Amino acid sequence: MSIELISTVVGLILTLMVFSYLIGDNPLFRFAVYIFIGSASGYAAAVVWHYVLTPKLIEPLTDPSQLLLLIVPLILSITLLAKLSPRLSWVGNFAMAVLVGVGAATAIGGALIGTLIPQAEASMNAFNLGAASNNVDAIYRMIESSVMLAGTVLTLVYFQFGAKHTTGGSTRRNAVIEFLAWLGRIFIAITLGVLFAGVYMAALTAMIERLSSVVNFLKSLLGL
Amino acid sequence: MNNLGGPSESTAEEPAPEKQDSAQDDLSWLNNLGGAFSSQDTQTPESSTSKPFRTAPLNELTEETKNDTTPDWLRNAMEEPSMPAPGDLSMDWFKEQDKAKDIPPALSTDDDDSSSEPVPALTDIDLPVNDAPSFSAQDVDSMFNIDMPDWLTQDSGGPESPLSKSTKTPANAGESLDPVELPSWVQAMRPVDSAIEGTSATEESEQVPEREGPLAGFRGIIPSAPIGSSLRPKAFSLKLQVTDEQETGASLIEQIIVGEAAAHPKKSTKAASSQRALRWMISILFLGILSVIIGIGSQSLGIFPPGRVSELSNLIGAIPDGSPVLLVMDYDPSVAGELAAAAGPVLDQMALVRHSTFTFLAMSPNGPAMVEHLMLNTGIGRDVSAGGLGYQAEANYFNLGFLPGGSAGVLGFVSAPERAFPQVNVDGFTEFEAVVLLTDSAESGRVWVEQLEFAKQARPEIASKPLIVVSSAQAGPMLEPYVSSGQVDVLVNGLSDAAKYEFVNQSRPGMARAYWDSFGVGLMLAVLSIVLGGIWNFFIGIRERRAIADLG
Repeated sequence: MSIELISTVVGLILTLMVFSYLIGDNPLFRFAVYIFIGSASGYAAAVVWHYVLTPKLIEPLTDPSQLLLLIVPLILSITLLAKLSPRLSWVGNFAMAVLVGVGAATAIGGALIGTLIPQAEASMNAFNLGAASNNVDAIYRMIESSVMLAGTVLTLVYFQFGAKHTTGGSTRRNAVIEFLAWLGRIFIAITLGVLFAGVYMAALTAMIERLSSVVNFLKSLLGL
Repeated sequence: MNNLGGPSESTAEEPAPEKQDSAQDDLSWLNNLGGAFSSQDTQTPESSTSKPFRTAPLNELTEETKNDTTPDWLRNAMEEPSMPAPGDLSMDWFKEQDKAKDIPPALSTDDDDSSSEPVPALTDIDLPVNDAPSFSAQDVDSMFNIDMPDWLTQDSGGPESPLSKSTKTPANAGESLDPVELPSWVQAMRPVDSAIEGTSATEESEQVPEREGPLAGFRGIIPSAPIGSSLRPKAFSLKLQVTDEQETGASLIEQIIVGEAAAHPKKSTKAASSQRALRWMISILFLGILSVIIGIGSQSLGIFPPGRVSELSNLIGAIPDGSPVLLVMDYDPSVAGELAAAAGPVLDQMALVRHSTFTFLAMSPNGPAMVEHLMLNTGIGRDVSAGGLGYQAEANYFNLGFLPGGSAGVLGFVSAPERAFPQVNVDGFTEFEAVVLLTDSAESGRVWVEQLEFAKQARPEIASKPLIVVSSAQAGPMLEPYVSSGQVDVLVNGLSDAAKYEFVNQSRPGMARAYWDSFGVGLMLAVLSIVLGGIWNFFIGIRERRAIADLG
């Protein structure tokens, strides 16, 4: 029996065990989940040791020329282990501060240069009709840009919850803001519908892939 | 009166009382008190403060100071203090003072008391022992540091003073009490009328003057009304002063609390069982129909390729032959089937047409395992005899492994990939002719887009490298804006885009096309389920409203 056949059979059995959740929670489903979590965690630990710790920390320590460069990350990584103990967790605070500071600075810089500025420029350039190839394209770009701008503005207006007190003691938003917020709800509903459709299509594709493997295996067994 | 500190001269001028009883009732002691303080009134404020313990009259003081060569500071220190030192807890000092007080002045051997002038005995004045302190008046003044009232400080030696007149007729004091003129300080100490509300001048005139006691002759000192009745504090209402808005908010919070505390009726078993049956029915319907479609291998549904597909073909066609391409594995095993189907046509064309060398980089620890799964499912890693392209590891594709560090790790790799992975098959990031990002998350995909844009600021040559994103259908809509802005060259969103591109790519490798019919049927089943479920609930709602209307 080849390795490929064994892996196919194991995959088929585990797939049916997970599908058994359709009739409710049962030991077969939980067993499959435990196997997945255990194997994934073990594999992740092996990957981290093999791809990260060994080539980037352990092996360079044997080279005296790199020892001075690695002494700082080595100490910081060791202090992170102190986080396991509530009494000694303060020892790892500096290493955590380095991680959070570097990570936050990188993310903020990337978000500013990679998302905020380019997206704002793209929103403004969408109204540049000079880039259109013909009149039909210009009209299409104009409509697309207007819808995009309206969706952005109306969605932002929807989250404007500022209100003023009325004579009756209750609070109420401005009538214009209320109407624009109602339009913004439509755009938000459309966006949520798109996201739901995307999630459904992803799940449907995954299910089709699993059903295809099961059906093809059965067809191969039956010689069809 | 020595106990009060009065000088002997002033006391000597007083006539001796004829009767002891009458001496108890008259106010002659006030005269003595006034005489005592009248002598002090002649002293300057500086002297009274610098010599707080002097008890002799000022004229005697001046006689003493004429012959006294001792400095003031030394004399004050040599004098016996009239009060015990602070912290001296011994009571011997008070005993000695009491002994001196008990000795009559006539029997005293003190030089000051040896004068022949008559001195009234202490027994003539009925003062309690506790009320007769041994301090001099200056001691009292220095201790309390208060301003003496004007009637105490006025000259009592004059023959026209009222007090001297009263002291001259002590015999008549016990028979009738004439109305006296109240001193200013007594008038100032009459808060009774002002404290009692509603007391007017007419009421004051109606009040009866006191006939006995030290307040005899005074009118209106003791209020006729019972104390406490008019001074009773006003009764305030305990009702909270709240606005209508606050009441509305309070009632709303109360309703929420009551609603949370109230026990909700448990759903009936009938409804739960019907829901379970509905779920089973829908599951069986989906699994049965899709399995049949997959089993029969239906490929009857058509594919309409949009314009984006041609852009991807042109982009791949521009990649130099045999050049390295970076593939970022950024998805979980749960979507491995979808991503393999979506990335299959892109990788197949790169491998088949451009013979590109693939360099895989995993963003999750499970990513390295996904590389082999992807290469086998797309057929690129299979042997040529098995219908694959025969790509071999470490020859045609390289698996660098897991890249830790998130966004910082991405930036580090883009800056110097050879430093992050010494085994990488390139000398710099710019040697990659294209970057293909396979992701199932908009957030992690955004990190790569942002960090590449960040690196372009320092190295503009990176901007010429195309970025192709192959995403799961759940992340595609969130990554679409980066395509509109030009930061992503081409986006392959899920199975639908993959099937369209596969149709252009001579139906290779065929995974997306094999799933296409079942995918379309599954979508239609979902649409039908949602529409039918909505219509069913609509009519159920109408029936329930009619039932409620009939009951109402």
